[in-house]
Amino acid sequence: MKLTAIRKTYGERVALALPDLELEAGRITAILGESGAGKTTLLNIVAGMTAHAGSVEGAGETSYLFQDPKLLPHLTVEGNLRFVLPKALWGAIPAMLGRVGLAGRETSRPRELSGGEKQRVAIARAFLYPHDTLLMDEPFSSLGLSLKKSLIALTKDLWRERRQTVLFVTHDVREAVCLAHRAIVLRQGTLCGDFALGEEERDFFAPQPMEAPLIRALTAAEAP
Amino acid sequence: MKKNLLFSALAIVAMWLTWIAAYFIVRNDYLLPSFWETCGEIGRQLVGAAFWRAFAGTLLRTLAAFGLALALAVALACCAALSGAVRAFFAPVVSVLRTVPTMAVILILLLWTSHAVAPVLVSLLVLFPALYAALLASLDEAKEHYGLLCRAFKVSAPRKIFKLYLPAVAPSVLAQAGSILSMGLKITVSGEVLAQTFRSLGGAMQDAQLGLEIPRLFALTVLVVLLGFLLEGGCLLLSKCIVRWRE
Repeated sequence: MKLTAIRKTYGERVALALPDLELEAGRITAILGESGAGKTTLLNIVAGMTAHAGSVEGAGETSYLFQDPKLLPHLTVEGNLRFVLPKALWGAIPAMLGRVGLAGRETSRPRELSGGEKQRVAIARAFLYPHDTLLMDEPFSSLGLSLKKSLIALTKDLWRERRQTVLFVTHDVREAVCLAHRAIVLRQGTLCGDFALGEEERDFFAPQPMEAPLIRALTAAEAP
Repeated sequence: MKKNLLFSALAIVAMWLTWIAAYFIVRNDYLLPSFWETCGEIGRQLVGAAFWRAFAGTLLRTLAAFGLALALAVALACCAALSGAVRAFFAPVVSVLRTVPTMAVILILLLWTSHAVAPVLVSLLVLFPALYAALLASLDEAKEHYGLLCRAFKVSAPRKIFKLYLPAVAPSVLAQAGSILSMGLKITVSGEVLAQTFRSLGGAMQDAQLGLEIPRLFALTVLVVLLGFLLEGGCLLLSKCIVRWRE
C-alpha cells in the first residue's frame, strides 16, 4: 500500500501531514500515537471515509475492527454478522463463530455477552467481511490484560490464515510489539518514528527490548 | 409505585372537588352543569346508538390521521436521515406545519374538502411534524452510534432502513405514540366541531352547544377525555407487549 503526501486539515489546524509511506502487503503495521496524534484519521483516510489531500494506493477493499464492538442491540450475534456481510458469506458465520470461541452463541443478544465476547463477535465480523486491508482502531484498549492477551493471540491466528495487510492503531506499546511487524509512530499528526519489529512471537506479559525506543519516540523523550 | 398511584388519585379527587366548588359558586346550570347531572348524561349517551356512531366516526378519523401521519413521517424521516438534501428540503416545510394556526388550517381545508375529510387532514398536518421530529431524533441517535459501522462495511440503504433504523426507532416511537394519538384525538374533535362533521363527537358537541344542552356538552367532553386516556393506555400496553416480545 502506498500513501503519498497524505494531509488532513480541519480549518487552520493540521490534523495529519505525512511524508510518502509504503506499507508492505500481508504484514501488520502498528500506528502508534497518543490521543490526537492523527491515528484514527489515518485509518479513516485509508478506508476512504474522510476527505483528504494526497493519495492512497493499493488498500483495496477494507474491513474495520472498532474500539467499541458496535453491535446492534436488537439483533442476535448471527444477525449482527449478517447485517454487514454479503448474503453469499452467511453460510460461513457458524464456522467463524466457532473459530473465535463463540460456537453455539449464534442466537445470543449482545446484552447476554461479556465485553470480551462482544469484541470476539466484532473480530469475527471484521475477518469474515471480504477485504484486502484490515483496519483496527484500538480494539483491545478497553479490555483487561488477560483478555487482551488472548484476543491479540486470536487476532494473530486469524491473520495467519490469509495474511492480509493490517493497519493496527494503538497507543499501547506492548500491544504493538506483540502483534505488529512494523511500528509507525505519530505525534501531533506527523511521523516521528518508523521501527521494524521483526517476525518473532512475543510474550504479552514479558517486557520487550523493542519497547524503550518506541516509548521514547512516542513521548518525545530524549535518549539517555 | 403505590405512592404515585395515590398522588394520581388525589389529583382526580382535587379536579372533582374543584368542579363541585365551581358549581356552587357559579350556580347557573347553563354555564356549568352539576357533576351528578353530567354523570347521568354520560350514562344516557352510553346507551344511545347515536353516541356510538359518533364515537366510531371520531375514532376512525383519529386513527386514519395518525396512521397516515406515521407512514408519511417514517418514509420522510428515513429519507432525511439518509440524505442531508432531503432533510434541508423538509426543514422549512415542517417548521411551517408546526407554527401554522390549527383553526386557520381547518377553515382553509373546509373550502377545499368535505366536512368529514377536513378533520382528518388537519389532524394529519398537526401530528406529522411531531412524529417526524421524534423519528428523526431517534434516527440521528442510531446514525451517531452506528453510522461509522455502516460506512465502514458499506451496508446497503434497504438493510440500514429495515435492520437498523426502523428497529432502533420503534421503542421511542411506541413510547410517544400514546400521547401523540391523544393529541390527534384532540385536534380531530376540534376539526369536527368547526366543520360540524356528521356522525362525530365534535359534531355532537357543536349540536349540544347550539341546543343549549349543556350537560350533554360536558358529558361528551368527559367522554372524549376518557377516550384519550383509553388510546394512551392502549398504546402503552401495546408498547410493553412489543418490548417484551422483542426480548
